[in-house]
Amino acid sequence: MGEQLIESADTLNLPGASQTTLLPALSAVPWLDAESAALVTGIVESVVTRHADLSAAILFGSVARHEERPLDDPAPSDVDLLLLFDSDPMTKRMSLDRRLAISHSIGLGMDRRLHAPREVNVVTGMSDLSDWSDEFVGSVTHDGILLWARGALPSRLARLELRNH
Amino acid sequence: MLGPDHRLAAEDIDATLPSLTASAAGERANRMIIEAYFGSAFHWIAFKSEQLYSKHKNNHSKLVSFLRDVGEPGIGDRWRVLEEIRNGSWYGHRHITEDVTQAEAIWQEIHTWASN
Repeated sequence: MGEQLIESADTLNLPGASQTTLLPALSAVPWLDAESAALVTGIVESVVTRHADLSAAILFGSVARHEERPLDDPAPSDVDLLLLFDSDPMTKRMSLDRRLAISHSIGLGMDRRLHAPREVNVVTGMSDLSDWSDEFVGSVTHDGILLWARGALPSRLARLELRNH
Repeated sequence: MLGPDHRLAAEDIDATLPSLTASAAGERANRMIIEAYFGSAFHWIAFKSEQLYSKHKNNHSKLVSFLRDVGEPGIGDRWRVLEEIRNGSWYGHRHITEDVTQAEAIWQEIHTWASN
């Protein structure tokens, strides 16, 4: 799919998020509270603007499936967010410096929403998905919601791309 | 758990690390080694947070937010990566020897911060 520019997103006017322009794809997740949706948006926006090698942002897990534990549960579900980055052909893994730089950007994106009701659990990986099990990739493909992408998704996520069109 | 108890817990875990890293299980011990770095780092963060800010978290839920809130974003960045390495070692990664090296480096930085 083509690049979805956050700057062109519509304001969804969700309660509590009136000052935030949310990622358009989050309109497919109306059960996610506005503050947590704004936190997800802030993280993606921060990483998009600082890391040209970000290739996709995908919501997955219980919130994507709408099987999340509610906010009044003693342990409400986290929001699971997968960030995929361009693969480095020289290594199977991201270097620690690269991981820390991405983590720094994630943190900056969190700063305006540190007290959002749900924690956002960010998982980072290479876009070739070589370091993840087939089970994990299958779960993301089956349940994932594509929030942002630069260019086509990797072939292992082709079904997710089709579902989200 | 009080601050000093967190320090004792961290030191207990640290004392087990040499036997884990020298384990006859070899690479099969990697998951437990990462778990030990993760657990030790958590207790060191709790101890130091209490010492510096008179408050700490007794579990790792929203710990990154807590650390940013008290003014320790760099430790929050490192904790987030360590947590991701730990989650990956349980749930998906196939090649985790490199993760052990990275987890050790992060644990060392957190340990140094907490010990000063």
